[in-house]
Amino acid sequence: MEIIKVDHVTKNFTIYEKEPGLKGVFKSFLKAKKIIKTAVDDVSFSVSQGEIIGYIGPNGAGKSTTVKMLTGILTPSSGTITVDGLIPYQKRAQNAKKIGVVFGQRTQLWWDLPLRETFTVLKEIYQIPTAEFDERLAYFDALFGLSEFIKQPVRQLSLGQRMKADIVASLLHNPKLLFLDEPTIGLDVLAKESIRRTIKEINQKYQTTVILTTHDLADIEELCDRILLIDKGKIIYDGNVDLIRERYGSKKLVSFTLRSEEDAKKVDIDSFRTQDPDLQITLEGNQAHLVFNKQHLAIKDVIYHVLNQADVLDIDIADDQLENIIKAIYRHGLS
Amino acid sequence: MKRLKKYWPFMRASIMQMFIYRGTIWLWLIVDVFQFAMMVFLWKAVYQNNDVINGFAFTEMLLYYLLTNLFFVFSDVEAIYAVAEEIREGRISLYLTKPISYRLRLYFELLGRSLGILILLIPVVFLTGFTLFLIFDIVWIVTLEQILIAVLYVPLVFTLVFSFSFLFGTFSIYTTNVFGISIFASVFIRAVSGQLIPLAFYPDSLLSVLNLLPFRFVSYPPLVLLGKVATADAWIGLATLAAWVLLFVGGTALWFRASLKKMVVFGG
Repeated sequence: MEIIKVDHVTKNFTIYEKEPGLKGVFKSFLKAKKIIKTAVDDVSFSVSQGEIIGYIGPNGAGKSTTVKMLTGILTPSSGTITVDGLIPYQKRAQNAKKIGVVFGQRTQLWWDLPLRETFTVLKEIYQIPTAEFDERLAYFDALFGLSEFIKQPVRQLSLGQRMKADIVASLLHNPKLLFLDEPTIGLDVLAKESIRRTIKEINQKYQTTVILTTHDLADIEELCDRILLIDKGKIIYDGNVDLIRERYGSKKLVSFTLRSEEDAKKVDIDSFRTQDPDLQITLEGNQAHLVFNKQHLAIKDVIYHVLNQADVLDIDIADDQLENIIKAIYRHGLS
Repeated sequence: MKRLKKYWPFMRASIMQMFIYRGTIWLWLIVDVFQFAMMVFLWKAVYQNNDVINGFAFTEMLLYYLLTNLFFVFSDVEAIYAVAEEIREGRISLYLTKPISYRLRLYFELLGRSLGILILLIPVVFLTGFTLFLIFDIVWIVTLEQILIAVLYVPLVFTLVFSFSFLFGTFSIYTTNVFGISIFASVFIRAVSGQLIPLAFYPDSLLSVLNLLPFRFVSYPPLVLLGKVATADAWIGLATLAAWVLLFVGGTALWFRASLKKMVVFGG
């Protein structure tokens, strides 16, 4: 079942350009230069109930603007959006009952009050029956160990605890749709892991649709089946995570563990550079890491070459990391 | 009423927040008492050569200042700063993704703040009043009807000032920085409502202009309690104020809804 439908949506912002220097400030004060900036440019996509979508793109690509239109905060300049049958910017409050939102860089929790108070306020806002509220708190307590910090003022929580609390706050009313904007930003490995596990579990248990915007591609690799890649306001890729790796991940990573550091220094791959000018080698103690384009060089040739040069103990072969693929797409586009 | 129930926790949380920083509260109370003592000396000097100025005797002036100080908590509603800050920092997004009215939420939050201050202020006003009554031998006769009218004015005054301030706060959707407008709005309300000095002290020409505006009603509760406004006039004033409040609330709602469409949310 389709829960989100975005149809040819464009969002323009009017900004006023300020000229540099003191003279510029006075000039802009009298007559500011008006610029129309297109943050989202003719974007169309749809999302089915229960999907976890990774919505990714560089800073300023239009991710947050899209999310803000989906949550009803912003109104599109043209095009239409429906979220579970509602137009979010026309029925903001009704739409809000069905969604949960976490902005990783901002908290919806009451800074000075014990965490429990925020949850009580949310209980009233969403009119959650007491039995259901208690049950959900117990559920999240089991997942996140909430009872350890629920009585503390929010300002005293660690970043990890605060993020967990923010996620709980956005899920207390069991929304159909969850928007997560950078939910793991600045967190340690354990906290990240715990948050990812919870998102997965919520998605499986309640069929909650999740729209995840993140710069941490490990989030995407662990959680998403599908990614939407946005750049300069346009969707440049909409599809499977494995497919993007298969189609655009032409790099291969081969790591050799050698008997000694001296052996590592013996590895000389310059003869391959004519075939693959982007070929890279990094030495780390007794390890040599090679990155090359598998369309230009045969993996067996590279391995055979190194085996002939040095005493190899172990070989590790991996596909290019999603992060590198996305980085290359940001730089050069899809080609 | 059921629709409003979900906003009560905001009021409750706001009251709770008032009592968190004890040091700030004590300092604030000390400043308040100090300020009041200064005003007593000031008015004492002013009344040195006159028994009555513009219909106010010295002791009435002290009572006026005391009562204004008490009622001031309901007209010192700086929605403008709250709105401007939430828009500038992008925190407005957090509230707009909740199934609540942004305006009503802020209304109840600020009402909670005012109630919190009132709880703190009542003992100070009582103690100061008691001291004044003893020192200056003040006689004050007040009727139940006067008290009832004064109390009825309070929610209307609060709503009027909130709407006015919110109206100006909405400007920040267009201009981002509303510092200048904020100062103008706060000073304007204080000046035209008689919070600084009774309106009776203003020249007639200015008074005739101020009479066209609803802000004079802000200082009605202390004036009614002091018998400076006849109860019949006070009832009429109450009805007039209610009409103004309806106009302001409606206008603010429309203006905010239209402005939201123009909003640019900053950051993330």
